[in-house]
Amino acid sequence: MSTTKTGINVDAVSRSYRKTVGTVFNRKTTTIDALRDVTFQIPSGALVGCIGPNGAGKSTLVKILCGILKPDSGTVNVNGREPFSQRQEHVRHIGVVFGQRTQLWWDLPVSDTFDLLRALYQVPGHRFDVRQKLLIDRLGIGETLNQRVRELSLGQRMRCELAAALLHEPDVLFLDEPTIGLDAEAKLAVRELLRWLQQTGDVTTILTTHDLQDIEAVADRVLVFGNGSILLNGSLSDLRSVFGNTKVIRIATHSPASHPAAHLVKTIGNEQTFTFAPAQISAADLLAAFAAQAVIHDVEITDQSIDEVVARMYQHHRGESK
Amino acid sequence: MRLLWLVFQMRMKRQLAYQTAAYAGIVTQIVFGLVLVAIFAAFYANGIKAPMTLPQVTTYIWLGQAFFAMTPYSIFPDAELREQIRDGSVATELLRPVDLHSLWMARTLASKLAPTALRCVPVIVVATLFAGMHLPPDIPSFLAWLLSTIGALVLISAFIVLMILTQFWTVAGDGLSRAVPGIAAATSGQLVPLALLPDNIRVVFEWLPFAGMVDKPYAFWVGTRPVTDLPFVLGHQLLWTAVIIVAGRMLLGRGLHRLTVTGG
Repeated sequence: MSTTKTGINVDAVSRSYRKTVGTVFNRKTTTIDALRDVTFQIPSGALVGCIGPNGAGKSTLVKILCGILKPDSGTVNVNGREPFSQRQEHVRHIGVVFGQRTQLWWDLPVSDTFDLLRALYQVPGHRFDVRQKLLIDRLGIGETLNQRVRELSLGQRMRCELAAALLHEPDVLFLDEPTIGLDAEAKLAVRELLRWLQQTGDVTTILTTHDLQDIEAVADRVLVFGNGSILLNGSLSDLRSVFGNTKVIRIATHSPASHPAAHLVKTIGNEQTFTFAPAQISAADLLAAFAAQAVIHDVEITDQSIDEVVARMYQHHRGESK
Repeated sequence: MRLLWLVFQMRMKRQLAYQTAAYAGIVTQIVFGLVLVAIFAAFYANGIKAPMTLPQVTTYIWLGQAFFAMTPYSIFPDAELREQIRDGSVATELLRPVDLHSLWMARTLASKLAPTALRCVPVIVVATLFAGMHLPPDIPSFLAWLLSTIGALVLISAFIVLMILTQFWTVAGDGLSRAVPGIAAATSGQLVPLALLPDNIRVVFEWLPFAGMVDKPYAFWVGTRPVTDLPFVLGHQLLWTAVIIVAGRMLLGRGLHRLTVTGG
């Protein structure tokens, strides 16, 4: 078995699609570059969040890493395996969850799908039983096992999908929007499982999502995609500091306050919210300046929400590429 | 094999989950059988000369109804699989560490066998008791029928997988799903027993793969084909199965290439 845990190594990978548009008589073929010369490494056991606007190349990358799409150029290595040329061997060691698609048998109880997976992956009996019990306990799906998949709520189904993807002890896990449409409780359950996986430390996970709270909650690192390239590859604080570290201060006062270095975002009743750059003025100085102008009842200082940072990043990138 | 057994079990459970459909299927088959038998009875009552007796034709028709779910008439028994190829989610099948053609053969075999297993016995019992169906003339004929029916099942499944694979190119697939059943029904003997056709047409049809799906096994049960023909019938089925599987594997290779290299 080729399970040397070298993590994911992607070197200068490009991939383009040809797209035919127009009628029979007036056909035009355009080439779309889904990935342009992408290079990065992910150490074994890490959990990396992949974000980017729709069409930025995230799913193309995931398909290449799964071995179901061939890169035009460049090399890909996942734990010592070359996904496309060694597909059958590779997929034996990976787990995949697509949030918008089910891999469970729709008309049958969940446990039937698990039995089928056991046969498909040829996992030895007792080992499979132990693993299955562990996952069932972890995800709290003991009672849903005998229900038909189509009768499950989305949250229950997603827990079962995760279990199904992990039964054969994959060394890499791909999650494509696993929390899409889930209620708060189910989202938390998914995140908790991801954290647990990270603690056990032997599954490298790639999480594509539009929900940045998922990323804040569980990811070690972020890959930000835009237009087929990687815009950023780093930690969450790296992401925050891209446009200079911006913070948010909210104050409750009797009378409005202001400061030239603080940008007023909104005023609700007697609450004012400003953004400011700590590099320009420290939070303490700003607060002192406000206190000199008005009586402050309450104050809250937070990081700028990551959604805003990312939205700015996409905007910025679009502006640049035009 | 284990995988095939599991997939079969699941298809079976799924069939059982929709019991109303199974009952409705049985009723439909019996009604159709009665109508067809009445038509042939009318021909025979008017004294046509035919190489088959009326009881033989009647038995043949009831076999066709009992094993209707197994005939090539419905070439897309697995709507899920068809849909997957159509919308491209078939790519997710590539995430399984198995040979796709074998997996699909297993699925198709199961989706043909499961409804047949549920429906054939009631139809045969009712038709034998009340509607003029006869049992095979002797044990060897029955065994020859059984063996060639297994051969037919494999042949039909291989053919259906081939049809499913054409979906990689013809996105809608409705054209094939309408044209092929017609051709299959006419040349397989499902519409009219091949023995009743004019000789020059019959000889051609006998060579086509479809005859091995319906007419050849039925003829053993009815008794119009000697048991000594069994090796030829099995040989015919096996040869076509091999040809169709090879063609299917080639098509699958090309289809996957399209999917993985050009992105569909």
